[in-house]
Order: sequence, then structure tokens, then C-alpha cells
Amino acid sequence: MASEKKVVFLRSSDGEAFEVSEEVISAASVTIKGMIDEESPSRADTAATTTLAIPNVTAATLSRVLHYVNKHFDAAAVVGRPDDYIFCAPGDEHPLARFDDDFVDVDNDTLIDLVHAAEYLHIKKLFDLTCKAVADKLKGRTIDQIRETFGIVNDYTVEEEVEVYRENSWAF
Amino acid sequence: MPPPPAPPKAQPTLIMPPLPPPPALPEELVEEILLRFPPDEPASLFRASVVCKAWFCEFHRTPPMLGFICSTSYFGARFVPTTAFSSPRAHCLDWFPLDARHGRVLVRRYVPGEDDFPVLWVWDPITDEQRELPIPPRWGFSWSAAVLCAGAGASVCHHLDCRRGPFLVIFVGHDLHGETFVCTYSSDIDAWSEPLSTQHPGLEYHSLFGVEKHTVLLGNALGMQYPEQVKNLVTNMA
Repeated sequence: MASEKKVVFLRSSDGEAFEVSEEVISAASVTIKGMIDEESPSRADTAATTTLAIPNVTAATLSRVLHYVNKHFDAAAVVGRPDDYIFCAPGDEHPLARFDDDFVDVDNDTLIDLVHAAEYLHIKKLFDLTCKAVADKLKGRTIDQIRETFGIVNDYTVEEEVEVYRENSWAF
Repeated sequence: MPPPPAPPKAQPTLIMPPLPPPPALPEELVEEILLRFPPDEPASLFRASVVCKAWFCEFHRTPPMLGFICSTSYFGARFVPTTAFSSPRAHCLDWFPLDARHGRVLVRRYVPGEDDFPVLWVWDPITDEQRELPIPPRWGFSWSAAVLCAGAGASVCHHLDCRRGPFLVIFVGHDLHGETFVCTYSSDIDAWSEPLSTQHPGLEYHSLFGVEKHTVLLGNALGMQYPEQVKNLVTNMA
């Protein structure tokens, strides 16, 4: 049965190809599902494997994304491997909560790359997860730390900044 | 012996290689990230929003709810915080809130000796700034009032940071002869307009007495809720 499963290859911006089950990636990524659907008529009578170019995502990011996708969208993997549940604490919201926490426990650049990839590939669960992780990172930081982390230039004049602080003293 | 000065032209200019730019966060992603801040921590979200103007604009699409005003007949107005923020004036015995919108609260205050007329104040619960309004030019047995932003182009104002700007108070009253009148206070000139009145047939004065008339702003139209036998009153603010 397993041998009948269709696979597609995704080629990253730096030329590396990754194999993934068509069913799994179609369930996960709206973008790739669209690409596969577009290709379908020409593939119907040929056994050739499809390779899709993903020009906006590097190999490093794509391999992380596929790791996530295989964990979350491959029903057989989730249900069939009880060892996944070893990492679940009783209070965890879902069996992969611990996996998700570890998945986004990465440096800022990697995390932002994942946000971009999730947005481009239209993987809503991953987009939610990574955006939430960025929000959590920002939560505990000072304004200057946030600027430094994300390379944001403070474009307030001194007077404007004083005014913003004065009007919003409740937040400080 | 000092070294000879270097020839000014032959010296090659050394340029530090630029640091790789940090990952950019486009506007739409900033919005998505700010949306995912815990809703019960608006102060933390606010701090994140002031890193630059673009983030501030994203954040200010949705003003946080800091609390609500609770009104009781006997105990006046109480600011009930829904976040860590607490208003400088949490409890006011002689204040009776009539309306709240765009960061301002319209209250009626009882001033000894002036009970016959409504003494209206507009209060900013964040800074505790207050402004007493002049007595409205006309007074009805039953009335209602609303406060709203009057900023430049109020119809396009997002009401996200306008609470220190100009405002309007709309006063709608009814007299015993079935006449309804509207007058408008403008904070810019600190004065009421002349009342505009209209006959409102079918409006039984006893049907309005003691009824709380809630207001709702839909675009430029301010609606006031009346008992079911009377059609809702809509004032166009445009």
C-alpha cells in the first residue's frame, strides 16, 4: 500500500530537493496544493514524479517546514507512533504541544524565516505557531531590545517620543 | 621625532563591510504578530508597538479595552479595569455616566443647588482630565446625550488616538408637547449650538420618562434607542 503513495519533490531556492508525500503536503500547504492541482492534468497519464520549485524558501527552512508538516499532517505518523506521546505532559493542549514548543525554540533569524515560509506556503497552523512565538519573544523585551532584535530604526523624533509616552503612561 | 604626515591622496579609504541586514518584518507580518499578543496584556503589546511609527499604526488599528464604566444608582460610577491598568479616578460617588466613546466618558454630575439642570462633564479616564460643559440652551423633561470624536474628518478618523482632540456632545431632549430637539456642543468653541426641533407625533412623554436611552454610532449616524412604540431616533452627524 505504502508504495502506491504519491510523492512530490520540492526544490528549495538554493537547489536542494526534498521528497514529501503529496497527500501530506496538500493537506498542509494551500500554495503547494494549488501547484499540484495545476500540474494534475499533465501528470494523469504519466508516472513521472513532480518537482515543484519553491523559490522563496531556502533548504534549511524548507527542511524544518517539512519536519513540521510531517509531524502535524501525516495522520499515519501521528496516530501510528505512540512514542510521540511520551513527550506529552498531561496538561498539554494537544499531543504535539511539546513538539511545537521545541520547534519554535530557535534563533530569531530562523524563526522569522519560518514565518515567511509559512506565509508563502500558506500553512495556517505553522503561521499561527511562528507568529505567536515571535509575539512571545517580544513580550518580555524592552522597546530598545525589540528594535535591536528586528533591526528596526526608531523613527520618532524626541518630541514625538515624549508625547507618545506621556499620552500612554498607562502602559509604562 | 613625529612620523611624517601621510599623503592625503594616496591613502586608500577603508570601508567596513556592511553588516548583513537583520530579517525584515513586512507590515502584514507585524500585524499578524501583534495580533497574537496575549489579549490580557495590552501594556506589553503597547510597548511593542512603540518601537517605530509603522508598528504603532498597526497596533492602533484596534484599541485595547482597558476596562468599563459601571454605573449604579447609589454608588455613582466605578471604573472596572479588565487589565492591569487602573484609572487615576476609580470611583466617583456623584458621577453618573451617560455615554462613553472614543476614549471619553460623558458623565452627569450632581452639583448641590444645580439639580434642576444636568451638569455635564467629559472625562478622560486614562489621564483623569475633565471638562465641564456649559448648561445646554434648552432642557426637556426627558433627555439623552452622547459624546463622540469631532476630529478633522471625523468620518475617516479611526478613533485610535483622538481622545485628546476635539469632541462633540449631542443632547437630545423632549418636551411635554411632543417636540424633540437636538443641540450640539463643540469642544472647539466650548459652546452649544442653537437647538433644532421637530414635532415627534406619537411620542408620549410618559413613555420616555425614566427610560435609559442608549446610543450607538454607525458611521456618521448616531442612533438613540427608544421604547418600542417609538421609532429609534437617528441623527445624521455628517
